[in-house]
Amino acid sequence: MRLRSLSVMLVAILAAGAGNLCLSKGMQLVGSLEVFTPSAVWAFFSAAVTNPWVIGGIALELANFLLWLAVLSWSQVSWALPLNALEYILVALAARLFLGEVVGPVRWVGIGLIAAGVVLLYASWEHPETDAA
Amino acid sequence: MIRATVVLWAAMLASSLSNVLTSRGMRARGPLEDYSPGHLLRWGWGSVTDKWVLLGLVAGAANFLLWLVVLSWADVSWALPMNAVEYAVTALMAMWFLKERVAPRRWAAIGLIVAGVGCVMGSW
Repeated sequence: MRLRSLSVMLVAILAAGAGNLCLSKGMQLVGSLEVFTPSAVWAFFSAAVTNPWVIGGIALELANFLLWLAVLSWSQVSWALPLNALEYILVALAARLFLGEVVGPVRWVGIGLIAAGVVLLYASWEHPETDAA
Repeated sequence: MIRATVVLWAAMLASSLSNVLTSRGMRARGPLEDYSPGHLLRWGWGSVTDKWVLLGLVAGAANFLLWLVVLSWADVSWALPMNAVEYAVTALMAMWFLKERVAPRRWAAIGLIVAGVGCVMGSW
């Protein structure tokens, strides 16, 4: 039960992380939304959803969503959701490598605190009284 | 940074709502136990046509469009960890609407996550 949830979650997280990198790359190419008239907003979203990187990102996020549906049928939402935070570490590393983002010490500390919170949340599943279905 | 944070919070509200609605729909449907292709297909179709799951999908679509706007403004290594605030919101909503118990240890974990989000937010 637990192994099944965990392994499906890990695959889902990898898909989500890769998806967000693609979306970010695509939106950098589409450019910043700066004009908020209806036609400008429409043009922005049209450019976004026809960008190949964004389309690839959507496909990966969709894969993540379908896996997530399966996990939700097995686990409590307040336990299962925080495991997604592993994605932040992977994405921060990959964004440095592939998108040239500068990740400073304060941001790493923040990501570290978030990851620690995630480990603590994971540990709380050891206690069956908090895990009643 | 302010506008990205505000739009991000709006996206997170939509996302939390989406998770709770989807969870409600999926738990009513029961666990997936049969992995044959025909059953998987029926299970998948039944899931995405469930009323609660559909409402969850609408909220999810709103979340996605707002997320694209944020990514047009911000680094993904800044914006993505900011989403962790959602855990606190989701835990609260799960407690209120799904009657899930949130143990003290989980509250501590949520505290760490919120502190981490504060650091990330300041790192723009």
